[in-house]
Amino acid sequence: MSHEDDRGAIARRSLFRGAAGLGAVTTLPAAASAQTASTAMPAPGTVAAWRAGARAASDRPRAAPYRFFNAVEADFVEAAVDRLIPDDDEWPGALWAGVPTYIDGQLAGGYGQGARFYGAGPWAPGLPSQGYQLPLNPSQLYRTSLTALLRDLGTRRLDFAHAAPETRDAFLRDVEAGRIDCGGFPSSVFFETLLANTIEGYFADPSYGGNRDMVGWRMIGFPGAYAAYLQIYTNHGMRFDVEPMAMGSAGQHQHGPGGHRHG
Amino acid sequence: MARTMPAVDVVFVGVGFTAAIIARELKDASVRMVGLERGRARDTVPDFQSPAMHDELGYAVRHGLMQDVARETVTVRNRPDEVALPMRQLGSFLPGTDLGGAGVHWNGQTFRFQESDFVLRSHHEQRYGRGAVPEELSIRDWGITYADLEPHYDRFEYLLGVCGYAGNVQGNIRPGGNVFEAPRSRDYPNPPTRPAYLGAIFAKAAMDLGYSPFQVPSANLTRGYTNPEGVRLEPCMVCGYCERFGCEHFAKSSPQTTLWPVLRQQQNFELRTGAHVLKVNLTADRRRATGVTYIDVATGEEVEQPAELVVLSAFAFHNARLMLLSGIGTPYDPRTGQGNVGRNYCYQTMSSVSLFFDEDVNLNQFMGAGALGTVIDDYAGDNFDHTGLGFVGGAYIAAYTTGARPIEFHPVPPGTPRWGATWKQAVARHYNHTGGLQCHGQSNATRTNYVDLDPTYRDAYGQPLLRITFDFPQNDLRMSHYVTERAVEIARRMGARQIVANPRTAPWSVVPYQTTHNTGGAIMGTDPRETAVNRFGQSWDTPNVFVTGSTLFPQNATYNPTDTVGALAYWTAAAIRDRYLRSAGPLVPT
Amino acid sequence: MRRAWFAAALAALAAGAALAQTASGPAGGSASARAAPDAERGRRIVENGTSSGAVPCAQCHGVDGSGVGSDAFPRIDGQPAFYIFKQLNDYASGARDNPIMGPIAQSLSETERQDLAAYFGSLPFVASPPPTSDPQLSRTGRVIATMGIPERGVQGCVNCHGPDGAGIAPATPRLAGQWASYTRAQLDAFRQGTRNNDVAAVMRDLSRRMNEGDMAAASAYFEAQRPGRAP
Repeated sequence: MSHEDDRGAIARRSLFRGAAGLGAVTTLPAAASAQTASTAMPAPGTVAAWRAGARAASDRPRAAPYRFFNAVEADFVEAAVDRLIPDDDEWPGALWAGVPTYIDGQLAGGYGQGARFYGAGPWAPGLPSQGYQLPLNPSQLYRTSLTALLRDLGTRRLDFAHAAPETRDAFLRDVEAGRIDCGGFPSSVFFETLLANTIEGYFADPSYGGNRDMVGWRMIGFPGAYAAYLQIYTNHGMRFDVEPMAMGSAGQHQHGPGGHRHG
Repeated sequence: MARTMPAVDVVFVGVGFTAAIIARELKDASVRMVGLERGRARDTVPDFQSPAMHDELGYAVRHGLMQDVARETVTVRNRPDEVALPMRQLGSFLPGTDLGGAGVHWNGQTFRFQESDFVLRSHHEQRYGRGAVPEELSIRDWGITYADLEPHYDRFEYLLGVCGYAGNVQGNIRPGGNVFEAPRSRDYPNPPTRPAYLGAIFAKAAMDLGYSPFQVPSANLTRGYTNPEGVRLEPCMVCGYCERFGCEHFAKSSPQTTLWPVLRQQQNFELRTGAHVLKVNLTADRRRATGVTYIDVATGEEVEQPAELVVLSAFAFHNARLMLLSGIGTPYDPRTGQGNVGRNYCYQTMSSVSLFFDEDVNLNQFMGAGALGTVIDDYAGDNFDHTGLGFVGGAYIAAYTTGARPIEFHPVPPGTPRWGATWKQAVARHYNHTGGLQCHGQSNATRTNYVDLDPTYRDAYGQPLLRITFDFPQNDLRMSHYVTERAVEIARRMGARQIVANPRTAPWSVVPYQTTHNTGGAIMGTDPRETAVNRFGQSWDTPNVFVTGSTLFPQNATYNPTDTVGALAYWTAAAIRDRYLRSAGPLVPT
Repeated sequence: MRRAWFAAALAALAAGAALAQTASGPAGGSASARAAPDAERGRRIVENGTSSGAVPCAQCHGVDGSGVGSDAFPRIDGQPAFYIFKQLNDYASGARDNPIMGPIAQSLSETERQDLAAYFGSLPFVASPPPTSDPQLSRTGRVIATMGIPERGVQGCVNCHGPDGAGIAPATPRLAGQWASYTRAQLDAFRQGTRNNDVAAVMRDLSRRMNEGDMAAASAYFEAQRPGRAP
């Protein structure tokens, strides 16, 4: 749970939440409807209140230095993820959520360098059922593809980073359809990876750099990293409007996969 | 040059469930045992504690608890006339790694096989006639019966503390349990799970159609439990981070939570981690194993471990690969049909139905547990009359609530754009109002589905990778199509606004995850020329080598393999303890 | 004839369908047959007691739930509303045995218990300075709280009780900031079985695998924690 003082907008007061009718001891009391609260505002501490007060869609996160992307690559990736998961009236999108920072961190780290990837040849294109067979780890895939895409944009005289949304969408559809040669492989391979990484970055724990303020989790109603529902999962159909909690809520040292050794 | 360790009586290759079971069963035998585990030691505390464990990206997407395929993978192809290529990243299946193996990150769904599954060919020929089994299938009888295994299923289920309500206790059929199941000697050790919302909706629809739903037998405990080894497990907190994760609560049955606390103190058993076995060493005539050679991962040194008895207890197909690398038995060649190691590789035939509900139906699928589900067995195996249907086998239909972690689960109806504003709004709209029915189906053997050593690709130690040649037989696709249609019928009665069937199609692809139920390759049987091991899991060719795991299955049944893997481990342990150690040699005359 | 538990599951389904229909949200308006819990009514009970003779909660728990400076009475600020509701019900029914809270809870109607739950569940945790504690004890407690006790098969408390013991709504209580002596007493009560309203007997199980030192350490650690309120 974020510390309210730091985040500012997340209110302390929270009216009782949780759905369910009255009944046996183990059922939950009825939800306090936001409309029956004493004010007309969304009930403080609820997701609705966070959306209303916490940020403006134009509020870009303070840019962290990129460790992998150079400036033109970063411009492209930012403008691309901004269309893959755009801002709308309801929820910020991938750009606000820090997805470019997430992807950059992944590419600069083990995933990007080919961890858990069998990188020995010989190489052959293979059939779709044999999966990815390019001799490029994710960081190489990005670099190679972005170079080709940026060159293609130059040929089209298209300033992607500053183009209108519809124009950017049209280009991304070309990339998705594989219409651009990225150096021996179609751009669709890159697109699928970018889309997958974008979704990861929108929904992964915020400690990875994306899902800023758990926006992805708030949007869908996913509670996050702290979870124990034995007592309530049999309240079938209950409305569970509880703010999420991330791994970093405690601010303590945690170790990740493969990080702990002993014995 | 290799250094040599002091000789032991029994060496295990891979320390997961089966090694732990057999080693524990030999606790009073006058044997010195060593378990060689190529990975690291790990335990509930501190390795599986949340919130760090509740990291979907790290564990479910980046596979933090799984085998690192950078060092060793498999090559894959659908047909023998294709060139196999490496599975360069995990996808279709997720082998485990480190102490406890896949028993740490599994879901806990614990089903026994049916009586007919063990005599699959003769059962079908008796019931439907000799022509009933399609020509493309090489299914066969196991050489053991369900009755042989029943006491060992019981042992394993009580070790784990499986939670369920038995539908058949010594012939007494009990509605509310699985009324189709083979008879068991007694009920489960712990009460069944209580249904989640999706499961309850499914149960009602299924009962309306005359089916017999029951709760999936669960190795996520429903209450605190002390197993017969004196090890205590705790109730599952229903956190929704089960499959692909370790359990922080000692509530998922694993080698760590069921056996390791007593095994680690057992005087005659030594665990050695960071010991990557390269091969079993054999005498020149290959009739006897002398021990194994392994790499000490910490130093890179080659080490020889002499042993009287070798147990191959690694994950599934790793055991078949070890046999091939060591020269135990003869490699199977689909062109000639000769060879007893590698044949009858099978998988699991999966399909699903997605249900999109209205916004006022809060499924809360994120309140999940690995084996939390409601299931019908009416279309499993041969539980229904197949006359005129044109296929053998079946699938169970289950409504699972295993969790709803968003990177993996963000369903949208067909026709929704794959990205952009509309996609995003659809994800928000549908996330908490979508569930699925899973059809978990039998996988029958064919002559061209097999494993052998790849001619080209090698692992980090320079050894050939295992090559998997597999595609779904036409029979299995017909079966899956049929059961998926039955699932759609149930789905239509569940009140969803939209139903989408996701049938199984060929070819088998290594890309999307399906199950980690890889079976076969070192199959059990009665014919030493065609099968790798006898009914006790003992190699026909090298009798002081025993093999465990789903690699023994001549074909895969409707159900998840773990219960049968555990039962076979107890069965093999009894054979070693009560017969082999008294008089070493072939337990079945050749 | 179906086994009882399965029939119960269907009853839960039927209840669930009803729950889904009556649960009100920001847009739907309330269709429920009785009044929603009222935190304001709850506050009046805290300050004034009830006409049926329940003493004002504030006398022991403080108006803001942060207690009256004595570890004889637990702090209840920062607790999830449902947890408060459940404890009041358990006190009333005897599922949780307490000679003081039992009669008080029994004198409260279900609506009043809901109102109190809504009120206390809306309060922030009062960020008073933590009492001085033995730093060594607190450090030991931190390991138990976050990692558990491997040799006794005890998992870290935060797995269920949330970051820094903030609690996980709606059902898992906050430990952070609670008097160490009170937390200690609850662990003892679970261990002896004199408190047995814990879900699936988990706390009874765990406490029986903790020794005196473990309990003292964990309690001291949580007393000193000051996380924000769990949602």
